[in-house]
Amino acid sequence: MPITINKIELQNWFNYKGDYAKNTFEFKEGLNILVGDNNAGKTKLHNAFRFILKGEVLLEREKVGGYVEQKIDENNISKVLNKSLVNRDLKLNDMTTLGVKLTFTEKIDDYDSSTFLVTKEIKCRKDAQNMVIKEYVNTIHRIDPRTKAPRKTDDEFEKITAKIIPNNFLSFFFVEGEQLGLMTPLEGDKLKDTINSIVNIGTIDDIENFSSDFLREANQRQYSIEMSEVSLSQKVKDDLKKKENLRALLDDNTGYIYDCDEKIQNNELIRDNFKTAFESSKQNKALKSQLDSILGKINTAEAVINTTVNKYIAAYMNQTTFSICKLINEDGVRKNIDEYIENVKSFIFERRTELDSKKLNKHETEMIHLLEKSQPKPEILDKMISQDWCFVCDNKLSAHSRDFIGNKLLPFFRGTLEDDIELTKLDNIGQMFNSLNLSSQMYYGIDIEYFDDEEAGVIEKINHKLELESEKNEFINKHGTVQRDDEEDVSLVTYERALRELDKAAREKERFIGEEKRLNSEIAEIEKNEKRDTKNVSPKLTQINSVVSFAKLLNETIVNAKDNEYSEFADRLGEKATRRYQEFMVNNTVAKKNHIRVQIKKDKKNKYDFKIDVLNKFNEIQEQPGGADQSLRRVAVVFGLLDMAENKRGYPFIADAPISKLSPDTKTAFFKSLLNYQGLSQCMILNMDLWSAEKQGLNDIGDEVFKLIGTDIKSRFITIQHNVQNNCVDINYLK
Amino acid sequence: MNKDKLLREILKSDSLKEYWKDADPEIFNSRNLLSSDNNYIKALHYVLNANEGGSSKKLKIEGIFKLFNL
Repeated sequence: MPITINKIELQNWFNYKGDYAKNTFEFKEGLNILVGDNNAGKTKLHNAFRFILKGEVLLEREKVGGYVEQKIDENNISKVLNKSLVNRDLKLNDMTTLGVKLTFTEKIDDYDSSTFLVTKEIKCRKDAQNMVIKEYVNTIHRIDPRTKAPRKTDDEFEKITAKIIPNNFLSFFFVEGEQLGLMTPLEGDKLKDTINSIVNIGTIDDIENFSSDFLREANQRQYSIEMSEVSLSQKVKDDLKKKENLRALLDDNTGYIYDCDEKIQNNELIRDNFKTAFESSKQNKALKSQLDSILGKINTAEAVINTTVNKYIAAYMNQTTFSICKLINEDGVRKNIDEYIENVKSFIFERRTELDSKKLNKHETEMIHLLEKSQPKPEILDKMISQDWCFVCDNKLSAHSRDFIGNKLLPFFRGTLEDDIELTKLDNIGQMFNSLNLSSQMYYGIDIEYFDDEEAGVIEKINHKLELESEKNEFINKHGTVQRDDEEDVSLVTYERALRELDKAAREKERFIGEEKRLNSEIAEIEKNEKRDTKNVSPKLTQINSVVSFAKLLNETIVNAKDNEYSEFADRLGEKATRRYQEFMVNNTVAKKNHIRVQIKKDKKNKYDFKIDVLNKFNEIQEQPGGADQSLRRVAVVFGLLDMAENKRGYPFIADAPISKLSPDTKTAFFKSLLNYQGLSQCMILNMDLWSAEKQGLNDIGDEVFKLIGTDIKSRFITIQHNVQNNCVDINYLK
Repeated sequence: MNKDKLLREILKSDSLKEYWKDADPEIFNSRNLLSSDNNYIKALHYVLNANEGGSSKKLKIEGIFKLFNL
């Protein structure tokens, strides 16, 4: 019976702050358009319908993102309850109520109707940390038609809310725009269930199932009668037994084929679902590997440059040293250097002697020369003094000798005699010659051409690296930095596994079909002989033979009727949905030429399924994911189904943002089509497409649609605006 | 599918006609099949009302075989 939602009231529901009276939406029985900006409260209103119809709300998932339907509990109530109320108004231990009330009327006939008030509330208390739920309250009231007073009843809550939109229709009549594709199934059992609910096509499925079972039972009874038949020869009975066994094998084989079909169907679904993700992941993987390869080459080039270039630069920067070294390595120069070193040593010695001679007398000087040649150790001289004995002449040391050794010889050999500047310079010159001598050996055998060669090599390596860098930049400009995540690997694995499974199932199916042919031909051969051999039989066998033939022919007739029924249905639904679709797309020059094709698929067990596609004028399937044509395809099919239903189902169509992806012209056409559409009893369309944030009012399309519904008494136009000052929602009825 | 439409298809089917050659198929609808003297027509009652009534599918099939004393 047709349902009309009269009003919905919200209390402390998201941004709808305040009691029910403040947040009431009253609807008309036709087209109700609710318009508002982002975050005005449209989706929150849609969620209020969801709360009543499904007992859940659509909330964003923490961490992982995305939206999921959830029951309201203590973990998420703070997301639903008005934030300003919780954070500012409520004090610790204060109680409050979150709730939604919905009033609807069920029309029983032209003279009779019932009105229900459905209330779903959650009573909670503010705790130090969060809101503590104290009670969930679901109540049903019937509105007295005369006094209009609500009277509480014991009706089962879910039973009454299912009157508004039954569960199996929810995914068609209660839709979320952005998720229209996910929530409105266009294939599989859910679609079939809905189709059956609307057009009762499933009746023939039951009849066909029954006739198949009847045929199977008749065959079995025929077999047992035949086996007990005395008139039949042993050979005939053997043949019958063989035939029965073959039939059992055939049944098993049919089951295997069915299993294969199911595997094929499931994997086709997985393949189709993951196709886009797989392709993008595969492409991403290839790009990532390409980028990794470039980055790897850059790293290698860098390492090469680090060793080669640094070596080159070090050598290049020391070219002066090199030149000197080259000079030193020339024949004769090294010899000279050696001579210079010896000379400097001699100069140093002479200077030291000269210095010492200033303090030593002639005899002492000679003595030192002699001692120096014998390389005396200062430790021995120390010992001589401490023992007061000369180890050379083996006599006691004289006072003079002790003084000479202690104050002159020891400082001389220890080098602790005071240095002068000249001696220091001579030392430096000596060290310089030594250093030159050593470093010159580093470049022995290397000439100036070495640097020229190295320079060319280094430039080549640097250029190579620059080329790689530029290749990398070009790549990133074109493809981005190419990030991959685990989900992409899942897509790759799942898709590839589905392909393998599909291939395996297809091969298995082929094998079982071969087996089926073989079994059928063996059975046919036995049946051919049966006709010859089973003539004079008992009346009971004659009877069962006749029933089996009847059951077989009846089953064939019903299967044919079912085929025709489904084909005709598919064609009709295709036509009706196409008409709706083209009506929506009337202003779209390309899409208005598209049409909707409904196909039927039949499996081995005579089970049917539907597949619905949008095709262009060249009969090519249009499957751009998320495209507007795809969203409207679903709406068109639902409306097409309703067109086909002989009796109107009369459920309200409640859609949040169903037209967000359409062009302005198509949006207008969509509303026009809804306005003229007789298949639905009531429509609630929540959207922001008719709203101008700049004007804080209707935009051009909004004005156009507003004019369109201007004279329709069954339509209503409501705007929803978030009131920042009062932290609540302003509801205005433009019509 | 409309049961009566299916019944018409079955009753008029060339391959099945011989089972009710003595009966007038035009007088039957999905609700009066059991009133026929023809057991095959009576059997159609159970087939067409497969999803109706309180009895199970098994009992309905058994009902058909009882018609033929099988």
